[in-house]
Amino acid sequence: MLADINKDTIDFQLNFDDSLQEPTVLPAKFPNLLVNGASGIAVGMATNMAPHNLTEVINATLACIDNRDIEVKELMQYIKGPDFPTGAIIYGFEGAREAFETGRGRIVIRSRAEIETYNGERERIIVTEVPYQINKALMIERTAELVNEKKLEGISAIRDESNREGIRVVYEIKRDANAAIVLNNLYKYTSLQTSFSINNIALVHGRPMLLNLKDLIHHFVEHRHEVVIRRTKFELSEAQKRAHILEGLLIALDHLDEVIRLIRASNTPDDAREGLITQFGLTDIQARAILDMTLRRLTGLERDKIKDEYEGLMKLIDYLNSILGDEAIRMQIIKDELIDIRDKYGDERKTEMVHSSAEMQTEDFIEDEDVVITISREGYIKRTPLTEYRRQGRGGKGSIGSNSRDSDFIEHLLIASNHNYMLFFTESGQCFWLRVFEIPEGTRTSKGRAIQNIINIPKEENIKAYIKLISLKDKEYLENNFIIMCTRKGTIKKTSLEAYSRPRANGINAININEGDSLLEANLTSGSSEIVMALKSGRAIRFNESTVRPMGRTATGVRGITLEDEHDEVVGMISIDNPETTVLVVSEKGYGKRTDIDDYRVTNRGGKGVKTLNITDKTGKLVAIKGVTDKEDLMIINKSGIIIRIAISELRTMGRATQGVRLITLKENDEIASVAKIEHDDEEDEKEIDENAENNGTEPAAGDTDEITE
Amino acid sequence: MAEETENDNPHKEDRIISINIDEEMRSAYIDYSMSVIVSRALPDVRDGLKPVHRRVLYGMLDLGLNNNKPYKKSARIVGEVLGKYHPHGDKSVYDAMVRMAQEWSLRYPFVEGQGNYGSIDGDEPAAMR
Repeated sequence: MLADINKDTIDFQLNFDDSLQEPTVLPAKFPNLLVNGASGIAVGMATNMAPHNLTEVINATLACIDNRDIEVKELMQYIKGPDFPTGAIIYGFEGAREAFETGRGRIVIRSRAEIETYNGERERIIVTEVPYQINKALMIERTAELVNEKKLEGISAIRDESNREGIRVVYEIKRDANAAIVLNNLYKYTSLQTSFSINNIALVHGRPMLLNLKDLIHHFVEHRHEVVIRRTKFELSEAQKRAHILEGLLIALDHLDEVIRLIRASNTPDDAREGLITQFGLTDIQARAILDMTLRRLTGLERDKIKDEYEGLMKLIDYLNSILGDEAIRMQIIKDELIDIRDKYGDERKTEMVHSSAEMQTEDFIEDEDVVITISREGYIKRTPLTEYRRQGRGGKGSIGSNSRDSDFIEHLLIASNHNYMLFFTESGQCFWLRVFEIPEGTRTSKGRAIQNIINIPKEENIKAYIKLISLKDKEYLENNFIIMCTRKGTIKKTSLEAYSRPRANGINAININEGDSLLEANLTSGSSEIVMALKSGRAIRFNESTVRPMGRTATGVRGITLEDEHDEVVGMISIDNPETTVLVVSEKGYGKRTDIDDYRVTNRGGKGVKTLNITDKTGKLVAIKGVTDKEDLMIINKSGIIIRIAISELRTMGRATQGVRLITLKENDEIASVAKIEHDDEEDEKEIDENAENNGTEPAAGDTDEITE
Repeated sequence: MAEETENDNPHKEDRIISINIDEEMRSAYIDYSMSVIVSRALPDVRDGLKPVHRRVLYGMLDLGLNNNKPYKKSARIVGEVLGKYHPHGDKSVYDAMVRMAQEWSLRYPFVEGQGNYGSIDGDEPAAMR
């Protein structure tokens, strides 16, 4: 660092009281700024530079000397990223790349941690390296606080077992916790993972500047170049001075006897000096040197020595001159000196760099486990681990649903994995998101929580439809699926799922609803599903989804079915992919009927449709239409609060324009309020759950690999 | 004495320059911030050192402290640097020197320390004496 400082290689300035000189800069032999980093807060600006590996930095500098126009990208082949004295792991290359390119960037540093199993099943996390500039004791203290506050769960003890050999922090994991998830939480909430904001501001000629990697190296090379020139000049002048004296000595030795005679004849040293100058044409300096000569120097051996030294000096002067005359040689010197330093002090990098997903997602902290989501008729929602359902003894009828309020029952039951998304559509056409893991967890018998309390919707709003999405990131999935919505007044609208892939806490408008109208149904479709809409007046229309062109998110939609009169309204819409699905319609007075889908002729959308149920005084108006299969049950709820459950397989399929069969015997004046289909809940039910679980299991896994390759 | 002051007064008025406080604050602040930038907080691109580190290293060279020399008392170095180059508190110099010896702070430490130089747990280094 300080080498050659006395060879006039750098400028000095006076110190604070002008009594001494101090250097303005040191003749650093390696790019110290890059190697050791720096941090400082000035007024209006701050700098924060990361340390790097000496070997890598020098290699990059060498490359930069060889090719002045080298790109930062090429330099990055040599310098992978910062290298911290505390080791640890840099998570992701992007931040480092940005910092190198622009001088600013943010890198994430993670501790080096391992999960260790001991005593058979207990796990513990061992941390052996912590991020740079992290106070380990504080970190542990803070973590312990979080554990006590129950913000971090699954940790039973933390011990600092560090000693002079190295760092070792042990986190004992509780028996029932998953160590990987605890570790991720530790990364998120404690300084076990920190981010280092790089801001390469340094002084260039006394002015602060933001510098990228190339600038930094370039300025160092310039500096080094100047040092080499000044050092060479200094050495040259020293050599010349010495050569000058030697020349004088040589002259004196050639005329030794005369010189001795002259000195002996002189009265004073000054006389002798003047005599030498006039007689032999010597300079003042040379004459003084001759007079300072000891007698010993007069021996023959010493004379040869002086000659040799002189010849050596002449060679050195030639060489120094050639350095000053040729930049290539100077650069070579810089390189050689750098290589020396590298070979002497260079070492392996301590900080490992690994790829990361662009950002850690919340889902990394939550197990992607399969859950059953239930939504009751009154809007209570909960999720229950699938395992809880499996535990149920086979054949036992049990109650599938929850102990919800009287007259409430589970209307929707779906299998999802924790990382799935739920879309909620309200009457007024708003759409809200919820991650599945955000749904409160409840036991099989618990009631769950009102959806209103979980998502940000007005009290008076009703959720009309729920859709489960597997991913909001998978492009293909988003583009090939659609959300189709219908309103009470017969409007239908199709929008690409892509338009719903950017969640907002306050929801978005999913459809523009006209005055007096409201959203009735929303379905996820594949783009080629069959749509059946049914009217209160007993008519239904079937058309292909492709006749509805996809529209923007806030559009109103197009006519799906023409209403009979102003009192008429749509009672439901179903979308059918599976040709085995049959259409079930239910009327106010308890009549219902199951018909093959093919009995409904495909027409164009917007028509009046065909008769689906013979509406008579006995049957009453149509109240519901459902697409059903044998595997499902039907729940019918009366206005008086009576609920009846029927296995769909018990209903035989019949012709379209018939009256149907009596599904439920109603008392006088009672009517059917609504109908829901639910999963059949005996053995077949469990099989289906299992099947679904498998399907769910594979798809998120595909999503995961996507993230890793990012 | 009183007369003198009266006589001086006209001259003094000459030396009073009226300045808008707004501008004065601004220019004084800019002066201050430039001074901080240049001579305190930011490293030079060439050697990567802030003035205080540079002074410590130069001071140590002055004392002849090379890697092959025995350890010297921290206070001697600090005293040298303070007295000769760094007109600030002793703490700032000592801290700068200590940092240069901490192998968890510098990737390649400049100073080899003997004794308690603090720890990664944020323990303070020993007092210099």
